[in-house]
Amino acid sequence: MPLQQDFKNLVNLLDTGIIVVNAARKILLWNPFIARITGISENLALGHSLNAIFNASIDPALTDAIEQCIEMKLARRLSHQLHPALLPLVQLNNKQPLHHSILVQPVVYEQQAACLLQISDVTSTVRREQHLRAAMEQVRYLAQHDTLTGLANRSLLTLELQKRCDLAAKNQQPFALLFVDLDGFKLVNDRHGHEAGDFVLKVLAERLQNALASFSKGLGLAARLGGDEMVALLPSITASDQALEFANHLCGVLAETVVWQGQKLQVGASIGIALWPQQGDTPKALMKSADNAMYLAKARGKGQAMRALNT
Amino acid sequence: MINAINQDQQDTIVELMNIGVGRAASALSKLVHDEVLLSVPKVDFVDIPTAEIHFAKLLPSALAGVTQAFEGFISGKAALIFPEERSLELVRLIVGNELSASEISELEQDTLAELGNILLNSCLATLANILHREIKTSLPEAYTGNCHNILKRLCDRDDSLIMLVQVDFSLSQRELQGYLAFIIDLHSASGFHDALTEYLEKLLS
Repeated sequence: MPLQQDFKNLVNLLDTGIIVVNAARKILLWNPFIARITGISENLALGHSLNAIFNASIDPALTDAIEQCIEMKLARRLSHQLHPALLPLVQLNNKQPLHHSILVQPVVYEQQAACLLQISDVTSTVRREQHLRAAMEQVRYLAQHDTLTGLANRSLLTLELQKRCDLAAKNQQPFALLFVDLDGFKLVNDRHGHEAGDFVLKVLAERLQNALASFSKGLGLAARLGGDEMVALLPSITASDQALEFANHLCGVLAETVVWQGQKLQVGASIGIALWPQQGDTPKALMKSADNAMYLAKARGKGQAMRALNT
Repeated sequence: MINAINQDQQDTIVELMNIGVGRAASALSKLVHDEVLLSVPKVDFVDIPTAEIHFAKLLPSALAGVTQAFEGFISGKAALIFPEERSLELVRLIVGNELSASEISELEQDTLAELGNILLNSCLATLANILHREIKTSLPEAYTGNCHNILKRLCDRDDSLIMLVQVDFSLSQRELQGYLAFIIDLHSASGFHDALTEYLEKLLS
């Protein structure tokens, strides 16, 4: 029995692609929506196989689902996240992929067992989600990084330091924490203004980051606590001598002049070193030890690194 | 009705579910390009109040899952039930996105529905195939709710027979426990009974 005209009109109005194929996979119904998104008219599609229409580039998952639908009367939902290209569909205006999900259901059509495919265009949903995800990533980044220098902020440092302490306790693997405080930074700010100060902070943060990257093979974390205070977390350093060697190197790198608008600006750094667990086995205790050692370095004449005393 | 399924028949069902779940595991593994292990299922026949007690004991109150209707030699509704938090974890493990549970998206609901679809279809098709009967399934729907709401949604009659199948999922070294529940309409339970009897008789002759 052919589809009554009323129903045919309804199917024609649907905002979903409708295809019906019979047991021989020949197309029995092809609505205007699917004609529009494929660019293939009903006349060209009817009576042909899906494979012929789509040049055999149909995802095997869809082929299987159609087979199970016809042979075993099983309905299937094929989601776009698990099958990015069930059919080779592109957006007509920009030739970008047209994201789609397909529902496969057993039906009787024209008195024969057939398979109904409903193809929904989820491109706008996918795009909305991509924007949402990108925005969330941005928010997450901003919540954990210092906007001026791009270093981790206190919140991310606290998180990572706790993780590192837990891991160290589990594996009995020591690590080092350096507390870095710039020397002479206030003078730059007072003499040349905040713009110069910000520039110095950016340059020195980058130097700290580079030194850390080449030394700890991407394992370390550099953070800015605020003002001219920075912290370096060094999981690859397990011994005090090693930490001192790196801190001395860092003092040298941070004391190199910074050129701002043709002027040479001179700052330096005092660094306090604390090792887990001798100088603290909790984030708070480690930070305190490294901070104290940094003050000791300042008191001893700045521009140098000092190890914390055992707690 | 529960008593009408004898031990041999129950053992057969466990065996069939085992095959169905095994097939689903291999289909899921292929789909996610990672090994999905599904434990040997534990099968119980219960009434609705007992099912509710089961769930209350073993699952948190916030549940999520997928339900799908079926009809043929047995009719009713099948459901995959997970703790809500963990079900989203399953989707996230598979599609690798970092949204948190409260941010579950439309697309993830869709993905969860498909995963349930594969599992439920596989179990139902195995039952039908091996028992030489026909079954037709409808499209899966994802849902969330507490266990009472979910059972209410699945059983429109108070006297339905529930086949509760407990399965443990394991994916990328993560463990996830869920239930498959097949709520079989009482009027079709005799069809199930007959199919099992016939199968066992053939097996023994």
